[in-house]
Amino acid sequence: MYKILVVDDEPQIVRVMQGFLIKMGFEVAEATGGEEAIELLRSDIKIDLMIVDLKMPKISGIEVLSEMNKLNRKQPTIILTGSIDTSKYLKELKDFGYTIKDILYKPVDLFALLDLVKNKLQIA
Amino acid sequence: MAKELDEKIKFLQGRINKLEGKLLERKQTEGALRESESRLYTVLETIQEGITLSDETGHFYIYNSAMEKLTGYSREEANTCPDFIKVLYPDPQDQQRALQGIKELLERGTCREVEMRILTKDGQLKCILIWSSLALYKGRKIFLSAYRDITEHKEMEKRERLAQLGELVADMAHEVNNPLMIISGNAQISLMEEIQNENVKENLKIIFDECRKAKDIIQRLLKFSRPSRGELREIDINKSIEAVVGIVGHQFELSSIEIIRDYTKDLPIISVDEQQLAEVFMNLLNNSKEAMPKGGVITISTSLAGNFLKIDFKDTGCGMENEVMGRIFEPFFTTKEKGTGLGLSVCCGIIRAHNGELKFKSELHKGTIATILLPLRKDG
Repeated sequence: MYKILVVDDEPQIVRVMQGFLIKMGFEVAEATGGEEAIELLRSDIKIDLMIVDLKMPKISGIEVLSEMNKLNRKQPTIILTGSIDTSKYLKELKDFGYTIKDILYKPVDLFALLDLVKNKLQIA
Repeated sequence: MAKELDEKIKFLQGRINKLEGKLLERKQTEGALRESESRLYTVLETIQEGITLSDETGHFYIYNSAMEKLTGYSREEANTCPDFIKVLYPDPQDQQRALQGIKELLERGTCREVEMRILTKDGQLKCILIWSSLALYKGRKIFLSAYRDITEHKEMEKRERLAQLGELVADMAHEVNNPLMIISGNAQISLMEEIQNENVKENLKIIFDECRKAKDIIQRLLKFSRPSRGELREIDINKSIEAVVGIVGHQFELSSIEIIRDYTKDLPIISVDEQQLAEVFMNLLNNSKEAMPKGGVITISTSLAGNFLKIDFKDTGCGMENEVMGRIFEPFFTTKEKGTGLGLSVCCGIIRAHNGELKFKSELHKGTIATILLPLRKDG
């Protein structure tokens, strides 16, 4: 079973995605904010895919991605954002090897999220 | 006898010396005067501000080159043009302020600096700041005024304000998108449950659909709240119109106004400043709405017309009289109680900047058609 790490500073968003992904047959690890995410990434927990919000207080999504890089974790990642103007993050995201196709804009249609998850995990 | 003659000569010599002294003095004074005049002239002609010296009748004694440059009118034109004040300050509110300023000047000798808009000879609208004071000239009260062009400064202020607004909207959108996702996500999850009651199912679907609509509205709002950078982008005109209709559509529906779309599909892509164009669409739609206080129909059609893309906004409103039609592009001309009279003159400016044309056809009590023509790109 694939394990997905869901990271968002808004607990209700984590809850919605977690509820949905579990229903769709995934295992879910949750982190309410960047600090928790980094803690999990540093542990030896198996993660097959991460869904991370960009704009979070204290530790942002970009910082989580940067830490993930340092830890040499290579799982595919989906980036969530609440603003349509991602231009200021785009350069950094590109440096990490992400493109516009890895970004989903809130409010996200959960089935669009499922499609992208399946696509990243290469499951039909 | 000789002694007498000597004395006379001496006397005359004395007078001559005195006269020569006076002449020299006078020459020196004249020289000083000329120098002072030349200094004054240099100041007046070098200073960046427009400077005028005028009397109550509006006659200009001084009207420097900076003033000629600022207004486009020469001193002679300013002095011979009937009602020059009204020509220069077309906004009735500004004319009122000018009169108020003169009153203040006569009562107190000075007046506060006032901001006014002038219409230059070549039709530009400039924002200026005027300082005036009362001076005495040959025993008469006259006005000394200095005019500074603050158009660019104002534009910059406006751009900064818009940028701030854009940021505010972007922040707000971010805040709103989170709860929207929670609402729509919960509706989606609930819909996955076994629901017996069809009404509940329907309600959840409505919640999800409306969230999606709200997302669209926010995205469009975000797009237009960012200030225009004057960049040209390739756009599909139907989509650009639709984006504006998406913002105002619901409000129009509430005012019993139906919007009919008659778009021609697969029109060529054109290069425009989409935000500025959106401002024009918004303006035309609002004008149509105001022409139909009891509701009506707006038909928006797009089509090809030779080398131009044609967009028509046709309403079933009150229409315009010929006299009004002739003046709609005049800055500050308005028929609305709270109008600025700038809407259509700005629209016209935007369309002209795109090398296009904005024109109106109107029939009283039947309606108005606003037509925008935008040139296609030369390469296709």
